[in-house]
Parts: sequence; C-alpha cells; structure tokens
Amino acid sequence: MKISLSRRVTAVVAALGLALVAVPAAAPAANADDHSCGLGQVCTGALSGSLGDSMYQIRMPAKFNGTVLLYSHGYRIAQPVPAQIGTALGMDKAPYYSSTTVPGVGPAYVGNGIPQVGPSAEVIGALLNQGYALAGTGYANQGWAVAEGVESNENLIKLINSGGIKGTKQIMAWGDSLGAVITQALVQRNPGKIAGTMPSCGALGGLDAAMETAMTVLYTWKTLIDPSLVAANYAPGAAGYAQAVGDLAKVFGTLNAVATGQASVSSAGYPIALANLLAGLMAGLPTVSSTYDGVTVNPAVATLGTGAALAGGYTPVSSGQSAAAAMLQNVGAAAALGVFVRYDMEQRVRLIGQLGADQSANFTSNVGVNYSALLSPEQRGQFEDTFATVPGSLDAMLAALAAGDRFAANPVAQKIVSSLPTAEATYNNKPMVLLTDTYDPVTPAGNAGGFFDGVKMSKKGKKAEKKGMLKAVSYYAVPPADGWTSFEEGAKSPSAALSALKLGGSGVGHCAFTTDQTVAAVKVLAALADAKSAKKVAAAKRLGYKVPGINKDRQYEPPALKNPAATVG
Amino acid sequence: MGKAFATRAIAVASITALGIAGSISPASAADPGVTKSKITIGMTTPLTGPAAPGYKDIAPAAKAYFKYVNANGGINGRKVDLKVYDDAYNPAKTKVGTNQLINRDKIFAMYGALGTPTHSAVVQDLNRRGIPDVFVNTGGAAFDNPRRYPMTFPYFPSYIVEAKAMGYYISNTSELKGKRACLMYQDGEFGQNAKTGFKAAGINFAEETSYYSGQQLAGFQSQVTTLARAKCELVVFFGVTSATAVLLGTAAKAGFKPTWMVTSVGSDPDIIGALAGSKALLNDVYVPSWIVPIQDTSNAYVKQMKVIANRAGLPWNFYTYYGINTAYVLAQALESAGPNLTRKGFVKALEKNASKFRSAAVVPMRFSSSSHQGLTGFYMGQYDAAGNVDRLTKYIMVATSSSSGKAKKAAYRPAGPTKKLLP
Repeated sequence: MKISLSRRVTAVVAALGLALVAVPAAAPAANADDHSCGLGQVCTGALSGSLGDSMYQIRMPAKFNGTVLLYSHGYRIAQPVPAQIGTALGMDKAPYYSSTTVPGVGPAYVGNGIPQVGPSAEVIGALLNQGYALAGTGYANQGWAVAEGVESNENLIKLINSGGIKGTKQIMAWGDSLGAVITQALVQRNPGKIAGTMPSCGALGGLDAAMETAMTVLYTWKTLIDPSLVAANYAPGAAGYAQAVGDLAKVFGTLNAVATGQASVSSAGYPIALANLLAGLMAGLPTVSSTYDGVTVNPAVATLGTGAALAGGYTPVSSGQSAAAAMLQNVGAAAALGVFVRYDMEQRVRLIGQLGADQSANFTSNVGVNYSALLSPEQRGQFEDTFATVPGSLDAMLAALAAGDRFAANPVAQKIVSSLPTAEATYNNKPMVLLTDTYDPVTPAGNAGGFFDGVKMSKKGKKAEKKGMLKAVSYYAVPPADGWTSFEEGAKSPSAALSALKLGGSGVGHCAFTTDQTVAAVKVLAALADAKSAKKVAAAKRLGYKVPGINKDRQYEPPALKNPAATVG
Repeated sequence: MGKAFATRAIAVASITALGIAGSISPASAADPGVTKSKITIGMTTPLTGPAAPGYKDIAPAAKAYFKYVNANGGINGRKVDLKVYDDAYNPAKTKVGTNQLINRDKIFAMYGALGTPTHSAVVQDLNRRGIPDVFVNTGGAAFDNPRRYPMTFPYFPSYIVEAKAMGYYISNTSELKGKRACLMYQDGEFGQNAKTGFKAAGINFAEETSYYSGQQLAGFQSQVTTLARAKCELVVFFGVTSATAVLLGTAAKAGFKPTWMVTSVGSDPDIIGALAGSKALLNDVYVPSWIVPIQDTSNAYVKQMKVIANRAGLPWNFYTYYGINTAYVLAQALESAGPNLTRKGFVKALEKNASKFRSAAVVPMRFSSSSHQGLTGFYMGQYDAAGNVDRLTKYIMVATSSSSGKAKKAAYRPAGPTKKLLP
C-alpha cells in the first residue's frame, strides 16, 4: 500500500490541519549554546509540527559509537479508560498513562505524550552501555497516531542531523507495536536518512487486518455472548465514548464473572468459555497464555487420575492444557485495543470525512464473511475435544454466526483509512530485523510472517536474496519448550505469578522479549549494516539465533493471519 | 488402524486449499535424516496417559522390526533409526515433539503419527517443510487430501470407507437387511465421517443418538434407553473402545440385546475385556477388518511377525502385530525409493509402488499423485466369545473417502510375504 493520500482526502486533511507535512523543529536543546546533547546527558525538549507539539528525549552514552537508535513507542489509548479496567491493564503503573477524572465516569487513565527512548529501563541501560545514543518522542496525539509519530520522528531527525547529537554516523529506527508501523512508515518516507530498521511485534499486516481480527472477536461476542455490545460504528463524540467504554466494561465484566465461577452460559445460551475460544480461534489468536501452556497437567490431577480428580472438584482450568482458559486470558487485551482503536479510528474518520451523525464511520465490513471457513481443519481437529464436551455446541455456534446481523462498511470511511500511512512490505536495501513473539495475542505472529514474506518476495528483496545479500531477518521469541504452567502445592488452578516467572518473559504475550533478545536484535541490525559480503550477512544473522529464547528453527513460519474477506462469496 | 486408538475426529470443513504444493521446499540430494549408513525417522504417539493402553505397544513393535531389518543388512545398506516422542495424545505436546524430531533429531520422514487431533496440529507444517508424513495412524478422512497435504499418506481405511463397507454389508445380507437399524456415534469428525459414509451407502437409520468424548465415564443409560424405546434391532456403534465397552455393558445390564456392529478401531477385545470384565460381551458382534485375523497363526505373515515379536520379548497382541506390519510396509517403501534416497524420491516411490507392497492387509493399497487413500476397504468379520475375529466374507468391500459413491464388492488375493519378511 502506498503512503500517499488521495487528492480529495489530502485536501480535506490539509484543511483540517492534519496534513503530513514536516515542519522545522523549534526545540530548545539541553545545551543552549551548541544545541547538542552532551555525553552522558539526558536532554528533553519540544518539537512543533502541523499535527501538534510533541516532546522528545535524547539519552547519550558515556562513550558514543556513532549510531543513534530512534525509538517509536506503541499505542497509547487516547480516550480515558475507567480506572477499574485501566488498572487491570496495568495503566496505574505505566508512566505513559496519566490519571484523570471524567464526569460521569469517575477516575480514569489516559495516554500521555511523555517521550520514550526504549521499551524498558533494562534495555535502555544495556544499549547505553554499548555506546548507542537513544532518542525518541511522545507523539502530538495518542491513539492510532502513525502520522503524528512519523512527523515527530522526522522533526527529531532534523534536530539530530543539525547538531543535536554530535558525532552521529547513522540513525537506525526501531519501535514496538504501533511503533513498528511508524518505524516502517518513517523509513519509507525518508530512505536516505535511516540506515536500518527494527520493527517489533507490530501490526505490520496493516490496520485493516488488525481491525478485522478485532471484528471477528467482537462480532462473535456480540452474537454468542452479549448481544448488547455495540462493537462497531460508535456514535460521534461523548455518546460514542460511552458506548466504547460500555463495551469494554461488558467484556471485562463477563471475563471476570467466568473466572470467578459466577457465569458459564451467556444470555444467548452458549457456553461462554467455548464461544470465546471459538472467537479466538477464528481470529487467529494463540491458544496458550502466560498462565496456560497447553501441556502441563496439575500434579494433583496426575496423581489422582481423571475420575478422582473430577470428584475432587478439579476442572479443565485446573490443568495448563486448557485452550479455553488460555483464550479467556488472551482476549482481554485484544478486546481493549479492538474497542479503543476502533473508536479512535472512527472518530478520526468522522473528522477527516466530515461525516454526519447519521452516517456510519465503520471502515471494516463482515458482510458475507463465512465464519466457519475461518476455522481451519487443523484447528477443528486439534480442539475437537473441547467442542465435543458440549454436544452440538460448535455447529450451533457456527450456525448462529452465519445468521447474525452483519456490519456493513461505509466506503468513504474505508477510503479514508486505507489512505492513511502504513507499513509497506518491501525491501529497500537497508538492514531490517523483525522481532516477534510466537504467541502474541494482540498482534499475532502472522503479522511479521506475512510482512517478511513480502519483503523477501519484493523485487529488490529477491535480487538481494539471490546474491546472499538480503539484510533482513525475522526472529521469533519462544517460551520454554517443556512448558511453564506452575501450581502452588495442592492448588486447583495454576498460579499466574509462578507461571509467569517460569515463562521468563519470552515468547508469550505482546512485545514480551528479554533484554538479551532486544539487545541482540540491535546488535544484528548494526552487524547487517556493516556487512559487505554474503558471508558477513550470514554471520550477522547467526548472532540472533544464538540468544536464549529465540527460535533456532530457521524454517519456522507462523500461521498466516486470518483473512475474513477471503471467505466472502 | 485395525483396533488402534481412541479417536478425536476433525469435522471436514469446506476450506479452500492453501496451495501447499506450491510452497513445498524442493528436495535436495542432501535431505536431512539420510546418511550413508542411516535413515532417521520419527513418530509421535501416546506412550503414557489415558490414550496409551494398547497404542503404546505400536512403537516398540516397529522398533523391533527395524532392529531385525538392520541386523539383516538394513535398507539399501542403511540402518533405520526410529525416534519416538511420547505426546500423551495431547496436541500441544505433539507440536513440541514434532519440532524436536525435525530440528533436533533431523528426521527424514515422519512415520505412524497417531491420532486425529494430535496430527492435525502438525500436518500443515510437515507438508510446508516437505517432510514425508507416512502411514498416519488414524482413520480421519481429512488426511487423504494430496492437494492440501501432498506429503501425507494415511495407512488404514478411513471412517468414511468403513461406514460405506458396513452399509454395503447391511444392505446385502439377508440376516441384517430387514432389521430396524439404528446408529450411535461419537460427536465430532468420527461421527461425521460415519454419517457421511452411511448416507453415501444409502442407509437410513430409524434412530440416531450420540455421545461426546468422555461421556462414557458417566455411562450410557440414556442412550440405551433411547435405542431400546426405538425398538432397534441392529445398532451400529461408531465410538472408541472404552465407549464400546461401556455401551455393551450397559445394554447387557438393561437386557437390551440388539445385533451389534462396531468399528475396527473401537473394539479391541483385550481392552474391552479389561474394562467390561469379559470379552464375551463381544460375542457375535459384527466388525469390519482389513488384516488377517491375529489368531490365524497358519498365515505366513502372522507366523513370521509373531516370531519377531517373541524374539524381541514383546507381548503378542493386535498393536504389536499392527506395529510390525506397518514397519514392514515402510521398509519396502524405503527400499523401493532406491539407494539415492531423497524425500522427493521417496514420495514418488510411494505413489508409484504402493500396490506392490506386501503386508498382512487383505485389501489393496492405493497411493497415486491424485489419491493418498491407503488401504481401500474391509471384509466383514464377527467376534466370538473369546474376542477372536472370524472372517465372514471371502469378498472385500472397497470404497473411496469421497462423500458419495457406495462400496463395491471385490475379490483380492494378496501376495505372500517376502523372504524372511525382509524388504
């Protein structure tokens, strides 16, 4: 997809002051006399752009190796999230969310514009020790702020290149999640200014694919679990915000009720855990989570045997093997983003397209989608046991989905969204390192898989590959091969804390990488940039495979992203 | 598989083929798992866990046969090394094990992977990587799909074929065709395959009832009541062995005595005897089969396979028999691929030579570029009170796994074993 706005959309965007035009930075540096950020210093400032002001930060190492790592952070929700939900999502502990109070809602958290130069303090420290200068911004607006992220980065690059960081030899761009999309959009617009990229755990399949994934989940929830969900085409303004918050509250409320045993069957008459599992399978979400690894049996159950275990009150969630339990854990974060990204994008569409309140801002359609076709034979066979526990449940649920009320898209909304900047799967002869969790429930690994395939199959990619000079590699973080679900002694359910500890922060979750993995990926990027021969390119790639928790299977490919549109007709 | 395993079946969905054939890595002269002296093959199977009884004997049996072959010169000078991973019939563990076999053990081919839900978790990946996936140990019809899974070769007849054969026999046997016929089946692909086959066979049941996997723990009183109320005179049961044991036992206690017909995979007499207390429950129960009855020790195959088992110190039961039999077929297949062994060449050899491979099967085997059906039919047998299967029909009933078309009567005279049962 090209990053060009159609003429009509460009005119509208420009008229609203949202044009993607970089303007010179007007930012004070920490050292006012030479505008450069000194060794060992942390410098902050402000950048102005047509899309608004953004803050930047530069952190200099004690000894600079000449490479600046320009970081783009991930999605921060632009709308206030009620505190109860926000706390469940960890916003109370994140510096990138500020607490606020919303009339009629009460305490809430909202994404702020604090600049970010790396994903964690540990990674930042490790990279500074290796002599990298780290730079990053907070965007002028939050939400799906790809345009804002690109603009703020361009402004920061101008500042760096005009003396903001002395001794700069090259700038590498990297980012997580939404930051990965921004990173790629940035290099596409500025190929001469970026020496290499490292897009991690990003929605590289595009916003459309991400929103179709979310639509599959929310449509299934609306049809089988809670018909009162709005799910799409939120009303403009405050009314739509209330609807979005309402949807999220309902999803989290139901998940909590199932987890505490207060609910098992939905008002529509379907087993909630199974309906949710079906939603997740059709959406291509992973069937393991940080607590449920799919393999570990509760030691108590193994000792008692099945009959005695059932009599003793041990249920499928007693075991690490429950895909349904894992999906209950996975769907929360996916739903949160699905609701708020959609609300955010629909509001942007309304603004750009000047849509009236009676016009739909929905940009994804599920009219004609054959949901049964989204369930692969492998998925059916693999989890047939689960569905077989309630007779006829799979067929009944699929029949209900086939008959449910669908969401039609507004072509104007679709056109606006498709013209917004995004990541293009192409190779531009610059080093590229992708880092992805094998079991990412928010941006499934198929995003990276499909993107990397596109890079390899591009004209320049094929040419480079023939010579052994394709400076692009895709690494997948994996969890411990023998499982990670852990139990307190005698407990009937796994311990989330013990399981997460054993998991070790790799392979399962959204952007869950160890410090070593991230730092190694940066090292590979730098080595690829320096590599002048096929031998050196291969040697650079080998560095990443040596890191613990990186899948050494070079033939590994994640499952492709689900494509609901392909099932129409 | 004759009386192989507890089954979890896949519903056959109408999914567009992924065009896997186009994405298969081309075989190279230096395929993994082949050296001058060794061929490494892999198997995932339940050695432990609830599904293990019976099935756990297959892998040791196959290993015993390969040991025998290795001691007698190997295959084109190469010894066969079988690496076995215990997946406890858990698809998540099957994935872990398959990755290990591919990446750590560098297998040339996967052999005898057991189970439908377990193999479903890995079949696509095996095909994408171009790894031959031979003699999958399941009757799930979905694996017979050369377009979607060109590297996958099932072995024994699918459940659709079995249901078609049963349907043929019911329609053409005077003792059965006038009876009020009913069907009980396991929810899921197992049952769906059965219904597809019976529909193609033109059989209409007066009553149908089902159970879900695991329900046998709670007993089948309601199903037996349903069948009895419907005055079923012939009950066809498509379920796993443990469910068969519970059904026959429940019916006997309730005094419900129809004529029973059960599947080849769901009636292992040793397991039924252990669960229900007596093999005698199987007396006069009809069962299709595709292999020489194990008690026929006058048969050259049975005799020689029993010797191999005894020498290896293995129990002589159906699973040992099956394990040695399929290993024997695999050895012939590897031999037929020639000394310059490649994955591509091996697949071609399977498709070209399948009809020539000898085994204790008494039905033809069919592999070609357009069909990976494997064994193509059954004869009808009947249990006696000791749990032995007596062959009732000299003829066999052959069919395809398609959703239409009936079984046809055929004659087949299998060739005798190779010398010393060596490839």
